Amino acid sequence: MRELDITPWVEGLAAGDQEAFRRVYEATVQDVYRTATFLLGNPRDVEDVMNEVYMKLWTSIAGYDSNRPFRHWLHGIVVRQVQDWRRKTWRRFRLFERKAMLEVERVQMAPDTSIVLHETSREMLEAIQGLSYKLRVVVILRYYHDYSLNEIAGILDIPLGTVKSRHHLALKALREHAVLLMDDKEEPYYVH
Amino acid sequence: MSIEEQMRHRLQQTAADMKCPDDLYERVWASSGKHIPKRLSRKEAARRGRIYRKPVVALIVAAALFLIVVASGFVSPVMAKSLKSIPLVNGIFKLAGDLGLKTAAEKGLTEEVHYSDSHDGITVNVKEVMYDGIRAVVAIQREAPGTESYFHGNYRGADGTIVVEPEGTKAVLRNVKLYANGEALNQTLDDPANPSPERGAVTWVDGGNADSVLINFMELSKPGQELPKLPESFGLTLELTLSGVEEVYTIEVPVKKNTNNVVVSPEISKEYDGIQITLVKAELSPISTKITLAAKAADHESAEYTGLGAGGELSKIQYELFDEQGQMLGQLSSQGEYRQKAPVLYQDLIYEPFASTPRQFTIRPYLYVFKDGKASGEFKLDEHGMPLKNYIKELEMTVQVP
Repeated sequence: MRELDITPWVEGLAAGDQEAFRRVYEATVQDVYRTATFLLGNPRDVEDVMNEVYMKLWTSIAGYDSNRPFRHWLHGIVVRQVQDWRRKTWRRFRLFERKAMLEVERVQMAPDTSIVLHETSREMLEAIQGLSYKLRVVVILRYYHDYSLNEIAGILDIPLGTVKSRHHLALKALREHAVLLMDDKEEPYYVH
Repeated sequence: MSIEEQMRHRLQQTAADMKCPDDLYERVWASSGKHIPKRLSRKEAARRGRIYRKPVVALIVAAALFLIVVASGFVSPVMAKSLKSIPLVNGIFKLAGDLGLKTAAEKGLTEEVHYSDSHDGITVNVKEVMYDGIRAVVAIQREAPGTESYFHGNYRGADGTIVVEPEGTKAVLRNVKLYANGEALNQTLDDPANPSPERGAVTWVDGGNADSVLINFMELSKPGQELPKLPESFGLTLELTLSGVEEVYTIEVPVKKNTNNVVVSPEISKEYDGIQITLVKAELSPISTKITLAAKAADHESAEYTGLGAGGELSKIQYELFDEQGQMLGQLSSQGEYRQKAPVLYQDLIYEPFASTPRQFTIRPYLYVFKDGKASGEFKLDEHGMPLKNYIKELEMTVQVP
């Protein structure tokens, strides 16, 4: 979702045009899925967060300023929904679910049977999941979505200095990870 | 290649590898689709001061204590039939009451009275009254010659299932309204815009045979609020509606508190994992034990998930009460009030009495465990077939009684 221009559909969205919704959904769902999966530790949460994201999208389309790039706005929604979700799930898990589960279930980035990942992809995912959440967000926005540090500060609504230091810490942590020490022989290709 | 460039390549490659599964695609679309084209209506804010009541169910039955859970109110019809002919003097509390009421009867703390009203050849008598400042209990008995129906309306059939008297049956108790010195104790909704304040819980349970019923009133504490409280002695008016009888039975009974209670207001608080529980007050009588608790989120962040519904997660916490010998007291009822503004959940928990005034007692909070690690649904059972409890040790309180 590089230069997604949804201006043709914004009016339709606000007016409740099904066709417009469908178009926007199709154009964004992979991106939202991938972003949520990167950020959340538990794939079971991804579906719930995706539902929240799209609900938020439909209900707050009136607040979308079409002079701003759509993807900024969308990613802001995704990050906020993930954050809300984490707050609830983490708190719930600690007292109520942890107490309620007599066998402690390890929450892993267990691959869904429907996700088939190459080995390096799996390792990359592990490396990302190994980062603390705050660092992870910056990494995903920077290296998956290609935002500048400035843009990231805008999306997360935090000072640029904070973004810079988190970015620095993230790279420091990732440097240790084996997946990045391998020679890169494969042709990189970009997602559009 | 710099680490940044590597990151970019690898991460985007990984992303390309991750494709949203088709079924997930369809489900999220279907779920979002519900919100189009209407805009979502605002969620209704929970009503302020929402009252809830937890029914005391058979869960609380602990066979080892030989306790009849009066609140669930079921007595076998075999026993009921054989008791039908026995004159009951001081009998209803002793027979069908919980441990507290039995004790009251034995210790002479109940008042045997004779008040009644008759309509259509059916008489309702008030036989016994008990009031200890925590709960007011009135035993009533029906005289309805030729009637086969169960006064209370529910009973446990011979095969153990609960039988409910069908709609058209005559002389079944259908409604109870109570007034203290003329003021309604039931919440009245005659004018929905101005419901009367909730004074407490009015409940009625089986009285041990086909003709007896126990009526209970337990006042809701409402800490911090200036509201009328029941005086130590008052005129209680009962308005009873029986099926098949048009006129309402009106009976007035003087009620007087006849116990000296021990009251402890320790303001003990325990905090764990974002939850704070405070013991606001403990009131001990020879007939009942009343524990008033305040449960709230310990900080602003936790408040977000504790404030769902009527106290939401907070109201899931259950409490057991133990005396200093480690004996558990049976729970008789619980009711609560969730104040959204604070937010705080106040709960009044009523238990059986201590055998004698203790020097200390312990409150043990716990959560039920549900099957499949879920947050609700079917109980997970232990090896005895009883619901599993997970005790929250960090919130446990031992209270000294001065």
